Amino acid sequence: MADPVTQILQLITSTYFLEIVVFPGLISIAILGAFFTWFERKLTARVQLRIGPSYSSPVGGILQGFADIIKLLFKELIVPEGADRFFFIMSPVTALIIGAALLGLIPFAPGVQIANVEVGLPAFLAIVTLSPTIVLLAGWSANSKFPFIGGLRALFQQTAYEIPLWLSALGVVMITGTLNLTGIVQFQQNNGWLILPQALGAVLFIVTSTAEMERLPFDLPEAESEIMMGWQAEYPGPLFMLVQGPAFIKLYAFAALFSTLYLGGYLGPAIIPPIVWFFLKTILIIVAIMLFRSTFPRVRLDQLLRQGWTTLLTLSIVNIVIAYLIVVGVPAI
Amino acid sequence: MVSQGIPEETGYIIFLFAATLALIATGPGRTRFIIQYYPYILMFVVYDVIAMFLFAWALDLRALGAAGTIPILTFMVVALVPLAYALHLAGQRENW
Repeated sequence: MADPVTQILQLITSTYFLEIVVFPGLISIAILGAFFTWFERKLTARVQLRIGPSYSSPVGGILQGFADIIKLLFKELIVPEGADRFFFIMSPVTALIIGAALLGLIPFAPGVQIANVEVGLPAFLAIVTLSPTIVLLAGWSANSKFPFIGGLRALFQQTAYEIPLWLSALGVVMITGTLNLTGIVQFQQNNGWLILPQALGAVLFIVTSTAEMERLPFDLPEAESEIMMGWQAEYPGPLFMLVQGPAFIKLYAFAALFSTLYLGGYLGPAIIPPIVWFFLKTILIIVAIMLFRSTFPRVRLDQLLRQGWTTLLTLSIVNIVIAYLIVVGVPAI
Repeated sequence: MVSQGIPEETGYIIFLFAATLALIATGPGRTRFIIQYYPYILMFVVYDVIAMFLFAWALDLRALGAAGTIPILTFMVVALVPLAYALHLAGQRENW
């Protein structure tokens, strides 16, 4: 029986602990989240022929995200009068935990995965399903009109786009015959990347996941020019950081899931290591989603819901038919 | 709709003032909205459960082959015809 100090040392230096805390776990998520805030601002600025953040470091203001975190942490924590304190503070914290939990399911490289769950893909999508409730609670608890409208919009939008999201991911499951994310990557190692047979599914997946992330052109719950940041309006400095964090963590998680499902995850020629391939693909998807933001105007809520329930649902059923024909073959009539 | 000779721009400027200077709001914070929440969320639950069943079918698609097609096709038609009807009804209203 070892003494407690040795046991704690063994725990801290174990691979599992390091995976959860350092990489691909919490610390790397925090650092990448701060990096992506800078990256998005810089990219949008370059698209719009501006300079963007440039003061916070010698190299193009790359430390801007960290500077923002430090600034926001030192602000006063004000809870609005009449707000429900418990839900007001717990909602962003819960959203952060949910966002970080998504990344525990992604295979970053062979063996580098926190939880190799047998039902990884449905587990990911089920965790995503929790977020509309959290957003509605955050909007309601602030005791203010714009946050409540934003929360309701988030509820409508995320529930409407969840079903096309599930059905577009269904095509991958039909072709690979497994729900395990590592299994899906291994299938692509033998049979080629799924972006070719599932091109329609990939497009549907990226559109619906953009809506799930509440990013432009589907950022109606936040819409700063009409309802002034929507459900985030009343959040003070430190909590605002916790509200903004999950948005970028979800972006990272959805891009990682996209590259796992359709772009072969960590697969690639052995010139560079698998983990680098994984991040190259993920960052490519992130750049694409960020370019949506600087390219498309925002849609109206009724247009959004109508497209979600009609066009996207129909297209995702067409995608299921395509996947069925690929697996079973065209039936002889 | 401009009354008492105030030019239309003035109203807009007052609105911008209210938006940026955060004037004191009137009325209760927790207002009520008519959002037809119940049928909407019922529709969502039904189709989410359907998606879950389809996942179970897709997992064994190779083993089931063409034999599993007829039941799942019937299932999808039964599920999607009411949705088409609901969307048809919704399309006749102006407000979703």
